[in-house]
Amino acid sequence: MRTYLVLLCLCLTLAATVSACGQAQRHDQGSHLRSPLDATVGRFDVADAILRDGLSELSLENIEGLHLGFEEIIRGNIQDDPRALSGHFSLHLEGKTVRQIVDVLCAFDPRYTWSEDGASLNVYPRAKEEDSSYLLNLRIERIGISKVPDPDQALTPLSKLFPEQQIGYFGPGLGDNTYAEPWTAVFEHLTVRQFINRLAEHMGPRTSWVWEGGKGERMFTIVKGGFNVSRPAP
Amino acid sequence: MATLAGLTSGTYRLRDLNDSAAGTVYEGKVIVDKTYGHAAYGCMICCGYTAAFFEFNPLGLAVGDFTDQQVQSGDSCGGGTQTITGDFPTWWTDNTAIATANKNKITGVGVGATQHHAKSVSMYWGLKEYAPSCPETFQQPSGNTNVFDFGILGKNYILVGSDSHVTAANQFQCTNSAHNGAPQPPGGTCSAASSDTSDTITQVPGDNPPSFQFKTLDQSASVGDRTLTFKYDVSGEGGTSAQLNVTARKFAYLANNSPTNTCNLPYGTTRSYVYTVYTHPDGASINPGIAEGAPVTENFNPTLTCQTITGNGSLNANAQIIDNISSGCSNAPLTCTQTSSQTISITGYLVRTNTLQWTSIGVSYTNNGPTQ
Repeated sequence: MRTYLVLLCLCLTLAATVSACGQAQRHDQGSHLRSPLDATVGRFDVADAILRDGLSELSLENIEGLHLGFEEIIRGNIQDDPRALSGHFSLHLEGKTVRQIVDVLCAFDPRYTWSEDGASLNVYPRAKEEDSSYLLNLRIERIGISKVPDPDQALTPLSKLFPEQQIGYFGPGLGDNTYAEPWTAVFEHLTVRQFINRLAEHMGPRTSWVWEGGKGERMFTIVKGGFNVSRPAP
Repeated sequence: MATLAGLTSGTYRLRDLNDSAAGTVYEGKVIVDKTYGHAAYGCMICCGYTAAFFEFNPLGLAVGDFTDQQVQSGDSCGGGTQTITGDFPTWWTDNTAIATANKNKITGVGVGATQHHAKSVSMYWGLKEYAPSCPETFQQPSGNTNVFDFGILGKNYILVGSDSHVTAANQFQCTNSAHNGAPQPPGGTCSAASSDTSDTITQVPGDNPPSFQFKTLDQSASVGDRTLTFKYDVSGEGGTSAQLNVTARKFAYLANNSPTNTCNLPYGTTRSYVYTVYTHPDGASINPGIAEGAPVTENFNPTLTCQTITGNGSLNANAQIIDNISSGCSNAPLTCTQTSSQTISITGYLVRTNTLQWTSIGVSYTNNGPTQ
């Protein structure tokens, strides 16, 4: 296990971190206007964290309009401890934008990169960026959902569309993670990642989703607001 | 009356205990030796009450409310101030549309100002002095009566906790008695207090009529044992008060439904548990709309290893908690197994412990209470 213990001060040169992270530029030209990615976070602290911890903290920052999708590198077994498989770091930032924070987080785990898709911010494995067989990169010509009460139920048509792919979800635990009313919609010419983004965004002004698990047991968790991660008690 | 042996002279005080107003004893002789015959002759002097006045002046009342007024006076016999209401059998007001008097019970009828009066029996009033006789007269004190239209709009409980969603449910507003306007007459100030002195009370900024928000960390021992007192005072016109007996309710336990499996992929289960929240000491459920958004947290021991991502809980608009417990729902078989104890807390108050056991076919759920 690699371990980083780093205290980042205000003097951190963000240009360097952007370069290290290598954000994929997939956002629309006009999307910077009032984008939640430009929202400033007064104070951002994580300690002995891995990337998922940092993204969890960011998702819980109550930033209006922030939709965050995180695709974790799939583990060998679902019960393998993610914290044993990733580098740890501590981080203190003040007055940074969401965009800058994600850059810094990705710099600590360069296995990941990120991009924007409409209202959503997606963090995913860099190694899968150009992998056309990777589930979240698969192209969907057309998919329809009919009167689904929540995003989880919308995964059934996705599973039917890609029967060779293992697809699953965990219930989101606490919280009312449903649509305001059953949703019927048709989507065309998009990736699975974009489809999941749309499913999450429809729940409300702040949503998160995580794709994680082990080989043969890969699960989505889609929640309103931010997401929490299991961490050992201090 | 007993005297000391050998006493030959001195002074004594004679009080007519049976008729303090007019008096039937006008002088006193004291037999000091019944065996050989010796009596002392006492020369009595006049003393009594000096001048009558009302204890409450002005007297503030709410419409429909009443107060027992008291007459007081200085005492030229023994000094100090005495309550002599019993010597005033006659009471009245100048305007019965505003206030009425039934003996010393003054009742507010309508908003306004009037005067109330009382008249004594014939009795001695004045300083202590030697006099051939004690002249008896009447006294008639008068006082201002201000009848207010005052009421309190709020619930019969407050919730225990310091979370803002909880304290937002603990608001009480000073209003008129119909709760559709400000207290009358206008221009007064409202204040609030709790019988639990550790309760924190803050005035809600911008509210007109004024509102007060209570924060308590102490649960009631019994239903209605917390008294909230609200006062309405108008400068120069007195004031009135209103009291509410409320229950300080603490989140205590949950009751849940028996949800069906909504997993529509071939493997696994997903069940959406809906919890209704109950409080102590009343054992009542929280009404819809109350404390909406109050944070609900869950903890697992040991830490979860199957499902490691969870959402955020709060009381919803129906004052319920939703917990979606899933083994995973997948188009492929599941392998994850684990047993963990789940504790659910509302604003930090533990309300439920469940044992959850993940298996390859689903999650078994055992409610470990509390259930009451």
